[in-house]
Amino acid sequence: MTVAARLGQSLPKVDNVALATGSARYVGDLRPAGLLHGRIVRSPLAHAMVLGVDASAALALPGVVCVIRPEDVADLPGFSLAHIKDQRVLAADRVRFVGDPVAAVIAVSEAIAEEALDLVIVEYQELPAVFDGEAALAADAPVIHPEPLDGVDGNVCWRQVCRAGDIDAAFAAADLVLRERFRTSKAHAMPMETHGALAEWDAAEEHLTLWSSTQNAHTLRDDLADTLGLARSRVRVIKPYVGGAFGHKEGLHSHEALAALGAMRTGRPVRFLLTRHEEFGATVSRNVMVRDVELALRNDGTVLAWRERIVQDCGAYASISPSVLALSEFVTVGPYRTPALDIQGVVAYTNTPPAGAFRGFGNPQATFTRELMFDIAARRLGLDPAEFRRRNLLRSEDLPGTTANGLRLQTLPIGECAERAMAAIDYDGLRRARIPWRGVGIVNMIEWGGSCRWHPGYDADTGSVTVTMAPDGSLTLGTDAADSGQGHATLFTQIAGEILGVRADQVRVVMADTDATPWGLGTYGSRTAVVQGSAAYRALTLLRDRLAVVAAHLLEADERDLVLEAGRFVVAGTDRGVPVGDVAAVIHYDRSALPPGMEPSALVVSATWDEPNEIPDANGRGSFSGNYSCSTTIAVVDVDPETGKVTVVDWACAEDVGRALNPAIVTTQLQGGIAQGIGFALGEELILDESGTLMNGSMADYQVPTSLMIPLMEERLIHVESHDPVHPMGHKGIGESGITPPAAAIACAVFDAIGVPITSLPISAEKVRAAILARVGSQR
Amino acid sequence: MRERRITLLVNGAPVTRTLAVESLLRDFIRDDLGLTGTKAACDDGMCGACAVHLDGAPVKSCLVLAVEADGRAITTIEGMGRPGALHPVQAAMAEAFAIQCGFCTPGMVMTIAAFLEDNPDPSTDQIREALVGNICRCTGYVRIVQAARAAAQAGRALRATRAGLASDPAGGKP
Ligand code: FES
Ligand code: FES
Repeated sequence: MTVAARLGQSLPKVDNVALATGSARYVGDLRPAGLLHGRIVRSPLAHAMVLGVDASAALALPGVVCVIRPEDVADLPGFSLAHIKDQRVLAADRVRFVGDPVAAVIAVSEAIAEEALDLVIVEYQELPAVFDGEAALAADAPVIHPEPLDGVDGNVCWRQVCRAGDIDAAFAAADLVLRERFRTSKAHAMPMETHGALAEWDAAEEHLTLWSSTQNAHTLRDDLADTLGLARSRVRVIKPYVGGAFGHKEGLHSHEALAALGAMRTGRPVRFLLTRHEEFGATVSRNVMVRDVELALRNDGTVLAWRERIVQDCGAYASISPSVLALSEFVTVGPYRTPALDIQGVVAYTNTPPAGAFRGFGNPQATFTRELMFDIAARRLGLDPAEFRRRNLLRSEDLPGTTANGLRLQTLPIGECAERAMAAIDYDGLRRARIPWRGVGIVNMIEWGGSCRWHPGYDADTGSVTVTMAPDGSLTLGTDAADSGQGHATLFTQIAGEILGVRADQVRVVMADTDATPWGLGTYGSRTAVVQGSAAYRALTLLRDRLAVVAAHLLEADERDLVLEAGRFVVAGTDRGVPVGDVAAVIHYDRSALPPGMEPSALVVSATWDEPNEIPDANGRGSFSGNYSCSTTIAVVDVDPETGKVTVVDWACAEDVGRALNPAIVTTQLQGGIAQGIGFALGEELILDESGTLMNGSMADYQVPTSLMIPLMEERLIHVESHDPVHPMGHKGIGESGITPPAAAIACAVFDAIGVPITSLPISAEKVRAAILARVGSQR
Repeated sequence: MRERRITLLVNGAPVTRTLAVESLLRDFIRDDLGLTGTKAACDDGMCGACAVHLDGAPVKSCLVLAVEADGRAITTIEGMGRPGALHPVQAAMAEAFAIQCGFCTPGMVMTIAAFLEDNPDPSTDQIREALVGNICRCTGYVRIVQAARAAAQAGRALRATRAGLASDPAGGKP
């Protein structure tokens, strides 16, 4: 490649060759000498006291090197992804879900470690358990965390409100009030690579290295060091290649601490790789929400007010569930004019596997609820769903502006999204066609297009980039961002090409290595392009300015007259120029050529981006994200009236991307998210039996979409470019945009097809069939 | 633990090893041969990340015992293409943006390459059918199907210019 990649081009991913040839190394592919393998003994009971752990039989098995028991880690502090530190490395005295870690076995092979699991004898005293969020809030429900915890009250883990406007007046003025209950499912992110971590302890250097399949090397490093009682600088976390994450590889997990403890105890490298079953049963899933809605309307379809009560099930540990609820509430009324709202939610502990972050983070649940509620209202009022929405959408005269609950909107081209999606799929034609058992669903959503300041524990929403220019003008870019397939290295390469004119083969991107890259919160939400991308823009611009001073001196020109062309600083309008690499060499080596008073130096510039957003107030009012994006999605489904099976036959989505920095990556992020959203809509759900044991913890039983389930959407995925003024390159985050609308769009389409709303996810064939039979029965 | 000595061709090179009779071919490839491009992503033969070629035919290597490969030839992703000389399917995957995290990619490449050998001019629906045993959680399959289509086209073009004399540039298969 001879020219620099620019923004707006679909530069092929720079890690394509490593990934295509299988040479990319994930944590399970690392092969250090003397490697030991760990496995976790997990509770078979949903709620019990742990009376004792007898490891003698396991230790007697040849090949078992050590067993870590609760008493070995009893002194270690609690930890959590967020502020409620309710997790322990091993369940100290109490287990709270089937799968809670009780002990760990470390052996010379995975097979021996596995064999030893059954030889660890744990004595339990079973306690009554509760598996449902609403049941957990009953006065006589067993209390899951009786220990004192920040703000926890019984099984109430967290309360969150979002209120604005005069709700009572709005309901009093309504022509029509509709009530409905919605329920969402416990879906799992199921990345193809399960969680894994490998630790090495250097006793002489007192330095721990942990390779982990993580999204946040730095905060994981901090929490791990604090848990182990080490200075944070004595712990190095490195993210190797990661095989998908989708939000659920955030923060510290027990297996990471156990790998570290095992390495410190044995003096040998120790790895834990979760099995697929453990991945399903013991890592976070999407929060189940039960949402009771009251919608106040005028007869012309105008939405006057939204009242809602939410019970959100976080499972046995809080993780980041409080934030999931908060964000879900903040986006509940969507891109619509809603003068009054009153949303009150509770996060409840239950004896189920913990829930928390999963791509979409509360928005899929909110969007499903709102959009299906709107279709129920539209049908009641005899309005076309698109027309009902058009009457309520935010309009261009509302922008820039602030919504009732305080979201500061700069650009939000929802009207354009709706028009373009409808045109792309010929919405009116679909409506006219009226094919039996075919349904059309049209939904809008609002999304945090920036990053969110809603991480209790930090009033910072940062990511960082350090750029180091070598004396030949090539560049190393280090960042806390943690790619798990999104194409971050490609994006940073393009930004460097745009600002400094460096070619892709001159750029090396280093990500998420705490000894080599600057501190930041890592990758989650849709934040990397906006946060670390903006930090990269800043750092590269500063570096360019530093180079330009010297270039101007070398060219005896005014700095303001210089332009960067094909890797050279050129005096505008002349052919006098100097290659960037020559300038970098002078800065490193040649004092005599530098401007007077300037000393030779290394060329290193760091910059951090703190997202311009705020922590909402006690009423949930505030602009929690740096900016907002929106989309319109139209799903077309066919329902088989005999079986209830729903098939997605067509799809259109117009998405506000701000500006597409790499259009192919934007499109493929949307495609992947939509596919996951279709899985969420139609079938994905962890199912527990009455003892809280996971029934479908395998790939055969937990059915994610296959190539046959996903429509080959391509040309109807439309990028709407609103050019965001908040971020210097004009783009918005799109990582989560795909997954949010599908459950809503498919629910609305199925309602259109069968005339009955399916208000609980997933929209399984059984539910659809039952709804059809009930409707036929009622018409007789 | 019963052991057995096996000899096989791995990406064209002869290999002899002694191993436990119950070892899965997948684990033999990853742990004994150190060829970690072949991935393990499930316990029940459902994901396809472990796909390799056994005597040219695609198999899920977690559903085959290593001893079954005795006297036979296996090709893994490492035998398909190299930096600078990618297999046409690898090149098509890269070009189509069909690779996100890459964890499913080796299995996808092996499955698609074998499928195109037998079906040089497949329809889009045939490609979708062929991929049903390979799970990808990142891409939604759209671009993978596109890549397979592009690779089929490139393969047909190549065959046309070489008048049917083409040998597999990866050297993994006859
Ligand atoms: S690991 Fe072989 S099919 Fe999943
Ligand atoms: S690219 Fe990640 S699973 Fe396919």
